Amino acid sequence: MYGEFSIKEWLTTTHHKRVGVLYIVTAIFFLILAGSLGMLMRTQLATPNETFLTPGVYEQIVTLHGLLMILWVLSALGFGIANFIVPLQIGAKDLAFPRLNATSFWMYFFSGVLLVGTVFLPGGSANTGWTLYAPLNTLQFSPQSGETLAVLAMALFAVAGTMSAINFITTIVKNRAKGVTWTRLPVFTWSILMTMALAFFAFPPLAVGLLLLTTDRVLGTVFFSSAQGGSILWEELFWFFGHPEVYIVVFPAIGIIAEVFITFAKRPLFAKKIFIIEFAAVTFLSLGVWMHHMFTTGVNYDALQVFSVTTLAISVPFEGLVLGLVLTLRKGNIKLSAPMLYCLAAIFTVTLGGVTGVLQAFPVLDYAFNGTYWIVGHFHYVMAGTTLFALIAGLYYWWPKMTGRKYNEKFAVITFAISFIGFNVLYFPYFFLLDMPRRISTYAASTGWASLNFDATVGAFVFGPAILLTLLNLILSYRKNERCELNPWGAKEMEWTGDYCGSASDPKSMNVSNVTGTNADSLDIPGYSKILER
Amino acid sequence: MNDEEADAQESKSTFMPLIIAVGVAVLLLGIAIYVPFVIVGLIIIAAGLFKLFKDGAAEKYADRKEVAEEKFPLESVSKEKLGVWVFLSSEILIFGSLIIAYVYVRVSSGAWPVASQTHNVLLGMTNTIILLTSSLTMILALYSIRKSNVAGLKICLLSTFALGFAFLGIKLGIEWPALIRSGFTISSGLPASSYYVLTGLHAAHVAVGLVMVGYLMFRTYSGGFTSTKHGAVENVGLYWHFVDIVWMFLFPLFYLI
Repeated sequence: MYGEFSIKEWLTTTHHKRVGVLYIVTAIFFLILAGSLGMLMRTQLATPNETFLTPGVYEQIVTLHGLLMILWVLSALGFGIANFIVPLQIGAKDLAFPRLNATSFWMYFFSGVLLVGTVFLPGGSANTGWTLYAPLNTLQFSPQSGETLAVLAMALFAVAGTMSAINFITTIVKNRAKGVTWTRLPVFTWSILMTMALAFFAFPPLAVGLLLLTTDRVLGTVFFSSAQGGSILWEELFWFFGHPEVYIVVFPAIGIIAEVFITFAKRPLFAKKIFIIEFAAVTFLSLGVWMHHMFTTGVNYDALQVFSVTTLAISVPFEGLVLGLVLTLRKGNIKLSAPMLYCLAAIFTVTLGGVTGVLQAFPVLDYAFNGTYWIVGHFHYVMAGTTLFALIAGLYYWWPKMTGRKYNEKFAVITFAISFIGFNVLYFPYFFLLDMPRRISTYAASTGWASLNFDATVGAFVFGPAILLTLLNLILSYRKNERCELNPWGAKEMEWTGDYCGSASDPKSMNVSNVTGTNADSLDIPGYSKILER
Repeated sequence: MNDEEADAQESKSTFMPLIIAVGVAVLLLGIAIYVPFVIVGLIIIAAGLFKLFKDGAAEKYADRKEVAEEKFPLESVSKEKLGVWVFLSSEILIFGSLIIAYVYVRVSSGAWPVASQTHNVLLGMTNTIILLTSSLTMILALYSIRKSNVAGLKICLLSTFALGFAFLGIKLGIEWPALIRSGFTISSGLPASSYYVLTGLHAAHVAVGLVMVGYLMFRTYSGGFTSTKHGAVENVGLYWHFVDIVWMFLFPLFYLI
């Protein structure tokens, strides 16, 4: 598979399929790491007055778990799948700038290595939570060099992400094969285009915030330690990145769910044009809602009202996206394979996570919920639920494309059921922990939080291993000798049907053989007429 | 995949992305933990970039086959040029965020030192003229090579390099030392912090621009540009003009108001 295994080839590759695989493998490694950190936290919180972890260690674990999961796992897994699939869907030989793409990957890789490496430094890693609020992030309150290195690792991630965004935007605009016009662009590629547009807007302000923080910590500038800059300056820069980041993480998931629904319900996407317009609307509006993360910071009253309205406004096109997905299933001939099950679960969790989230658009409720486990439950339903489930669905769905093998379906359905139950046992109790603050390392028995926390921990010890079993299923299937058919799902999208993608499911193929010359007509795309018909 | 295609693929494999990323990681370790690593990191990055651009100039990575593509609505723009434009837009976001952060701290500070009493407006004006002139020579370089005038290209690139170098010399060699002597040091408060970070990042962009112009001169002397093939001159020019425009914002913000 992938030719003879050669470390040199993997280290020197610039080909999008290989870089995609590198992204996926690295992201899964960080997933296991950050998931284990989550399990440690749940172990600590299972019983009151627990002393399994010291508060200092717990704070570092909270920080690393959040940073790794949001940036190095969920964003990167989406980028990895996009790397593999987008050029195939648009019939490009590769991304527009293959060497830049490889550089992005290696920068991402080393940024993760640096972040994880901070735990070995004297004084430990960053312990400020993933939001690194000022002035907690300044030298005065976080003197350890691990904090500086974590900040720089995030900056490197932001640079790598911006480079990827430049690359993908250029590729999708310029490298579509003849016939792949904008109206025929597959919906997953659309979702990646929107993701990259957001990454392009969100990562530079983050990089600026981190640059100012670095000069504060290393060169002695006073941006975040002075009262005139300080916490509000940091929050403006951070959340201008932070809220679009939510959509950077969720958009590829939406794209995957759409592709899976189209294939397994054997229906065209419901109102594709409107779907794309809603995508664009969410992309645009998501740049104007960041202050709802700052309702409790004392920003002025007018801003509060404006951002309350924009936050409610963005939920309209987003619900439109979910509705479009659900209506795609209508009158469909639905086949409940593993990717489909994961996507249905993702729809369930995005509904619950979305409803619990939109309540915070009202400043009054936000004052009540801010900093509690209600919020933790809300964003885990969106992140660990919707996004992770959809990304796993994407891996299952394109696994035959990536490896030429099919996973064990029965095993997949069983692990899905376990992980879905574990997920809900883990995160649903959070909605009842309305008065439990986030990030506390332990609590007294008199608070009455013990039984719900114990439930959540039981859920964690079901959910975590279930994800590991899912990964095991993928790895075992990949070691099988038996190859599956080229298009096992009967999918109609171009990465499965187009012969310009190399011999469809052969991952070794470097997309080169398909390039038949400058004559446009010679690039006949089988199955294309069917796509046009629907 | 036949042998010819395998060769084509083989030649596109390169260690340089990995090496550049290692260099960046070492550089960051240097900033956070042990300063000498900064130098090591910079050397590794420079070596990686040098090899990458050398191979690029030798067209080692050039596509051997043309593909028919949909390009609407950007039929007439090459993908390199589009990449540069998108990159420059992200740079606008970088400097835009920084300038907004500067305006924010300045407004929330209330009292702010009078610009003309802190900064040497004459030196700032000189630098502005120098940088504007360098943009002129840069665009003249593009016009020269479009008319196959290689000698003109050489002169223009050399003047651009000299002017950019003069800009950095005045800023880092004359202005900054004088400011530091007068007590306007980087940690002396928000006016100084914002001044050094914003103009410092701009100066770093000029320095990167100088390296790029150096690369253009290197390729000019090895006969790499012709009247039909000079995309690199245009793209570096775009970057250079962008850096120039950023200064047009920084100069009034710091020296005049």
